[in-house]
Amino acid sequence: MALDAESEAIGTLLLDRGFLTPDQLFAAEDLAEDWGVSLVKVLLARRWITSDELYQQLAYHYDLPLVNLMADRPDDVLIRKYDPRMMNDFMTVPVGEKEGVLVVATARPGPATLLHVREHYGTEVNLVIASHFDLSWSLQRAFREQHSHEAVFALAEIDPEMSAQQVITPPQVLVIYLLVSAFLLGIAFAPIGTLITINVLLTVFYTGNFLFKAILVWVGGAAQESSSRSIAAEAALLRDDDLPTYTVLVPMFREPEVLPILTQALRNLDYPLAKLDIKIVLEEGDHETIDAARKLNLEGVFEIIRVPASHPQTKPKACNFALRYSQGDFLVIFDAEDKPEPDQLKKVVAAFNQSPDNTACIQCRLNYYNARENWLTRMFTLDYSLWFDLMLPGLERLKVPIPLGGTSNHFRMDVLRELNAWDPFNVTEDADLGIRLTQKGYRVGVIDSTTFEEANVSIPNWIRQRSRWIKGYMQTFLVHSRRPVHLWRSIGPAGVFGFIFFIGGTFLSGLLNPVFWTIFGIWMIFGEDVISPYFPLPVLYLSLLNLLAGNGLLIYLTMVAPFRRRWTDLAPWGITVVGYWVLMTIASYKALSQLVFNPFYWEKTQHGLSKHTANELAEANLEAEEVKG
Amino acid sequence: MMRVSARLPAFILLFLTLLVPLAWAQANGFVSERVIILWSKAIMQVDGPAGYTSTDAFFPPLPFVLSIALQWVSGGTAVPIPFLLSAAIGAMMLMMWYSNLRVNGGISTLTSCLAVALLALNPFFLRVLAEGPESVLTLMGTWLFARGIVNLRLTGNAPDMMKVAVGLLVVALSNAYGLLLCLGALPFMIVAARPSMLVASSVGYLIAMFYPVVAAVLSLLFISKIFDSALIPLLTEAPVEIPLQSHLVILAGLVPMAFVAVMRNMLIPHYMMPLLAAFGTVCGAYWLNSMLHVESDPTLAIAPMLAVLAVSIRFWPQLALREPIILALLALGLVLSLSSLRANPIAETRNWFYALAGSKVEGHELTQDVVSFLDGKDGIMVDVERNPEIVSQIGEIQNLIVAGDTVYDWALEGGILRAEYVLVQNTSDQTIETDRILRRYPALSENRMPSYSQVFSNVRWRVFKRVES
Repeated sequence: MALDAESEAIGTLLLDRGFLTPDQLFAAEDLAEDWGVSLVKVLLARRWITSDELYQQLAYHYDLPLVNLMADRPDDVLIRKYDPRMMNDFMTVPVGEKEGVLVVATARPGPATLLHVREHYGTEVNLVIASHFDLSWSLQRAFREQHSHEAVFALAEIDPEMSAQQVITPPQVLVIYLLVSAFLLGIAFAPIGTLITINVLLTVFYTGNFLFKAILVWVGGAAQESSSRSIAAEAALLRDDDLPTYTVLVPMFREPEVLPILTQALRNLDYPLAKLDIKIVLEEGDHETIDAARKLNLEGVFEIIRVPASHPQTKPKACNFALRYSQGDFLVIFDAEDKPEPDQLKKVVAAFNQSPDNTACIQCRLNYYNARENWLTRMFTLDYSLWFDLMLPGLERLKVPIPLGGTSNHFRMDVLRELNAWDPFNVTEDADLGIRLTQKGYRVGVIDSTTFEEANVSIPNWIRQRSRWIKGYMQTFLVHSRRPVHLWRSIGPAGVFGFIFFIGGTFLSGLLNPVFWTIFGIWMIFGEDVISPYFPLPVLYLSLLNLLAGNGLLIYLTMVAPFRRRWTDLAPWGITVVGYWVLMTIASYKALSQLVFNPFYWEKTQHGLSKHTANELAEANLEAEEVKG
Repeated sequence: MMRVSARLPAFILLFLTLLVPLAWAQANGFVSERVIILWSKAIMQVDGPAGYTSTDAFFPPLPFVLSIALQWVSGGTAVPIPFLLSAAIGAMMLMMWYSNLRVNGGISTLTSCLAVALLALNPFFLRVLAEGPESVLTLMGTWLFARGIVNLRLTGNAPDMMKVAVGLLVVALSNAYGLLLCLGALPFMIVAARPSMLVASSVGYLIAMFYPVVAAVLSLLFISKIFDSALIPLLTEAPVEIPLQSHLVILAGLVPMAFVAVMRNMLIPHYMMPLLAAFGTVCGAYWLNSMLHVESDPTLAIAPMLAVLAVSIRFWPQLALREPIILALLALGLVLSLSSLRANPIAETRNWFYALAGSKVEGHELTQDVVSFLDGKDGIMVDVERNPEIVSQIGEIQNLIVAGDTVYDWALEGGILRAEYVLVQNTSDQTIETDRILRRYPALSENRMPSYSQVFSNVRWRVFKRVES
């Protein structure tokens, strides 16, 4: 797209005044043409000129006053009279009134903004220029309480059935009460029959769980090969000027050390930087990360969103808050230590283009860059390879609701807003949102693009992280099983069975495993006579089948998982997955205990423990310096 | 639904067609020893006396489970249950072969039909069918394995890896000889592997490929141990000395044709290498068998090569005259196989060939005599696991006293023999007795057992009746 006249004029001004070298100007103009954006946007995405200098020159060019909204704080009451979404989208904020004339500050002066101002603020308006940062911060300050409240309670107030604010509903309590009563009555009057019945139910559940996972891997492994090729082909053909604005949310909490890795990974994305709307979402009180972010002197496309302190202090709440300041057509969440494959955003745009209209989210794969650091990272890598490379594509193929993974899920912004985004009371808000999307008639797709993360290297840290995930799965199960008939109608029988085995099976197997391990131990030590009253022959055979074939199958699936990435050296480690299951069991019981006593507590995973992270950090700093130079 | 409705009639037709040669051979007196054993075990498990407990291990588990399930569902049939299974699995396999040639191989409908017909008429296929589900499943497992390693080489994705594993698992759980096929595959898996799979770790690749077989065998050993049954003795058979010339005759039936079919892909290494690996796997297993005697009939040991042949022709390049050459090769294979089996020196295969050719095969009349004698009698003590043909021939198996019954167990564990009738093998030589009753009461073989007198005898059987003193 040819450069517009305004961009040309601004470029000439900056060159004349010595803010840009001829080479920088030519490069900026080329980028502006390729990306289909204004020169100002390109300059904000580069560090050739500071933000202050740029806005000063814009004010000079348009012959408008430049205001500093940090020093001259605008009237919050006046700002709150207008729609925050509209102000955020157009970057215009009313900053005062003088003799009946409204003063509106903008970061994007020009004809389009003038039309917008006339339409929304009337004709009696004086325009002034302010930096994007100042405007955004003024909006955040003015709507602090409102947006903070909405971030926590919007879903619970508008769609309470879908919120985990109430951990368990009265009908669910009644069902549990009746089940426990039936169990106790059974134990009192027919103990052996009751135990056999429970045994049969659990054994059948285990068998179903094993079979379901095998089917998922079989189906999932074969899926995607052709669609991956067509998505990759379209992504390669996409023109930069056709690409939409993309919001990247990066919620962080006390992780200043990984900030350079993250920012460099985002710069490395094969996507026009000027079309990225990157929000680094930080808690208001997290001064060390805020300071670290400031010191990095990031490009204008990086914006820090400070989330007001409130309960619960969870990632979804922070994301909900930041969502109100997002400007993209699509949105993705990355964790601080994430390294997405450079073409991921383009592939997602291509995938959305090729998907049915009801596709609301595309989940990318997650894996680890420090897979071979120790036993735990190897097992974690096998676990993720099985989950993201094989099972999720299987769920997609079978049209079973997909519990989204923690990061790299890409949303259509309009749908995300329509559904009130994430549930801040659910500690696996992403998994919950995946199920909610399907219930609301939307589709979740899975594509072949990977984001590499840092695998947990420490067992206590892993247990903290996993216990949060399992607690979140318990919350998700409780939320979506509140209305079983509605669930059945909205996602169908396959969806319900998939939901039960995939969400329920994940935490139930962790809780039940020690029971069956104990029974097996008793059998081996004391002989068959001790357990035979509770295990009639058919049940014993089925249990034995689960023990040998079921567990053998799960071990095998774990070994198969890394083959897609040709990581054959990891396959033999699959044999030790039993040790990983023991850790899962510990995490499951911790999760259950937290669900009862501290349901909304967010167990923070500490990142940056890997020895690879130090190398990554050094590399990121080096690359950043090169870009700067 | 359309696909099912279209396939079901074809399956039924094939199933009935495959039953014809089985029924013809049976009518001429041939029922393989394995069919008899499998059928009798299924009958005993489902319809046998309530107290019956098997002391043999549940091996090979896959044919056993299927036989027991079919026996249970059908309630027993006049046709041997293993025959029904053989025909059903065989029909399913032929349909899969057809679908593979037609859909995946892009071969015309007519040629695919003719090719499958030629494969089905191949005497090795019919011999496998007559041997029962153990051998048919071994053939199917080999086909899955061979198909899987070619696809794995092409795609490297999980389902193809699982197909290879399922193939190996099917052969290992269907037949003791399947374990040799797995061993035979071991060196050739590297030949078949996609090079990128071996870059990170070739050992890891092999461990993952063979884990299912190792896990299955260890599981069987574990089950065998906890249920106190004997698995190892079931894995090998009595060695039969076969001269080199006979080996060559047997191999000539299938090996040259399969080799030609594999080498037709010589210019396409990503097809040829895995196919060569499948070919090498069967050859390797055959060679191991000649030393370890797991499968006493080498005809059955080389029969899985038919599956390699079926897979190989599917991957032939689409060059001129592809289809006529396929048919010519299969027709030539049929002729060679026929010649090979005509000259086959192995007793059971020879008997099957005679039976199929319309000659009467002797062997079951002796058992029919003793069964006729026992008709209407009750309380017959017999070691059914060593004499399975009794079970399949006798009408009222509830009249048998077998392992698990108090009278039987007491008698074998040192108590007094109290059964009304005792049925044992008639062994006049000094070989070690396999019949457990004879081992416990050697006096029976000399008819010097107090309180018992012989009331029936032929060359194969003896019946003793308790005499009240």
